[in-house]
Amino acid sequence: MALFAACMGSAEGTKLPLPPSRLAVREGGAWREWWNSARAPGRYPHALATLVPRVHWRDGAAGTAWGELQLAGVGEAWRTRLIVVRIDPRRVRFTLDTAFADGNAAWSLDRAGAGAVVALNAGQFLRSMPWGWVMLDGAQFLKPSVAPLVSTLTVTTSGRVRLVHATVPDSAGVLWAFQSYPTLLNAGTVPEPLRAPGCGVDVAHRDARLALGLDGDGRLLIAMTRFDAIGGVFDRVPFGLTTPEMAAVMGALGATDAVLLDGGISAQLMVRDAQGTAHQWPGVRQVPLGLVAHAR
Amino acid sequence: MIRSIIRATVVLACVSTVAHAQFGGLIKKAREKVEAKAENKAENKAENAIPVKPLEGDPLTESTLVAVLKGLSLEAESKDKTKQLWTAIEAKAKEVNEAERAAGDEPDKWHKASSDIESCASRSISESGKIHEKEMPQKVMALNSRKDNTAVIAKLNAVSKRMADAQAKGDTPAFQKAFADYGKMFGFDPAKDSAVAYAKCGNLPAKPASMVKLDKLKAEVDQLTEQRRAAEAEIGGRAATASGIPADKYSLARERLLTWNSEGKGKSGRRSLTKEENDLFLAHASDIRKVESVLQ
Repeated sequence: MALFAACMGSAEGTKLPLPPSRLAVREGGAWREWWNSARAPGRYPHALATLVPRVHWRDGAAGTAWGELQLAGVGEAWRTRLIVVRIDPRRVRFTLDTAFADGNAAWSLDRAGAGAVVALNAGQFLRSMPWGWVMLDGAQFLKPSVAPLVSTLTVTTSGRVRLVHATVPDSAGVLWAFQSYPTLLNAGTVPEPLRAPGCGVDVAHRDARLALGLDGDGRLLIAMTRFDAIGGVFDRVPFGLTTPEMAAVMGALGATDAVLLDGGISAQLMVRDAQGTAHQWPGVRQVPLGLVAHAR
Repeated sequence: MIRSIIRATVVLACVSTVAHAQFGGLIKKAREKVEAKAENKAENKAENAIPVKPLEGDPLTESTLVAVLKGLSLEAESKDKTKQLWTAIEAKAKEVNEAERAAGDEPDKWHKASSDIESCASRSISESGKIHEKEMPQKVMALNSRKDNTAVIAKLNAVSKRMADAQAKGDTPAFQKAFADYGKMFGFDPAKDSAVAYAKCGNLPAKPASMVKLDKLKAEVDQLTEQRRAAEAEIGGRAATASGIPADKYSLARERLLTWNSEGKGKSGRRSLTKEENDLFLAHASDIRKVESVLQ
């Protein structure tokens, strides 16, 4: 009840505003604002996929595409590089990989193998164990968790990829699955707790982010933020995006459904280009679970 | 009134497809596979071209470092418990491997025989479902022809809620029970459909003793794995409490210390932390060394 009252903000029932912030994208040598917390959309229809044409897409292996964008917040206080990967599930075969060494989480990009097209850390984790439901090759490894902002990625035996929110999907035909939180987009809509402070999600905290989503054509979208300034001049300022900003990024990349993965020092991503060269953004620590896409 | 019944019926009809999928899910067989991992040596590390990202969260001060060290001490003391569970998991996993070797091709043969019968049964159940769908409008009209539909609607709503709740929790037995009650309202019985199907297609073969043993061992591994996860969650919560600072701040501060440790205790030349923080950590190096086992 207290949370609800705080979420609603006042006796009149009006919600508190998001902490003031803006996002701009570097385009033709200039910064162009495309998102403002004061006018943050609650829904992301296709027309708001404004970042898609601004990504300089490069061909990856097995029909994947990847590119980068430079984002900026208010003034020059911080800069963020956004790495975006788009995968056609019909062209790849997904697997989840776990790794432990002496009881500690031990998965990193190096385990993805030479045949991997894309690899990244999957889900969230505690100290060494993945959080939530994990299905490995058709067998349940860990039990599911249910919460309003939990999303579940499933890959079926036929290769279909789904992102299901707030419920545990039927396990029939599911080959691989993992859960993560919080949901960023549910059928194009930004969940209420991401639209105002005090609703259960910290909407002010900035961090390096990694998110995964599906666009209207069923393609898997991965977006990762990295600090992007010269020489660490701003090394005492919190860098990265807030959760509402990341929801906006995913919506503007054309995602209809999206969820955050473990960011911060866990975030790691590898994408192989069409020439076979692997481009890596490693994490600081090893994690228990990785999502790997291989060419079919 | 009729609208209410039809709306409820449409909702339930949608849910019933999930139930059919669950019947179909019986076909799923456990697939055992070991994928060879080729080590992917360091290739073109894009990270090398990007400045080191400053860490998120507030830089640690003397007091927050002392607080985090308190929590980490508790984690270190409790590490034996999770370590013991890990040892038990490894031992049990070895037993699984041995049991798999001993079982030879018996599981494959059983799965093949079961799969054929289940495919046949699934087709039969699906046919019965199509007949029920055809009969549904007439049965809805019959239900609606009563003078007072209040009780019918209340019953439909109640069973609908039970099905939705069970589905959200991933509770398959509860869902199947609710679905059976729903079916009975419209004059069909999923259990009867299932019995007819298996009478036609034959009963599933009994599992050989080797598979029964294997199933038991795998269930024990699952149980130990869940225990380990629960232990980690419990220790993590107690550690944050022991630190005396909020759990989110504890996690972020822990990550800063973890990063410092993984970056060679300030000797690697990376600049993820502030100079003051680096000096502070160096001054407490001996205290940090005591909790190094959990800084992974």
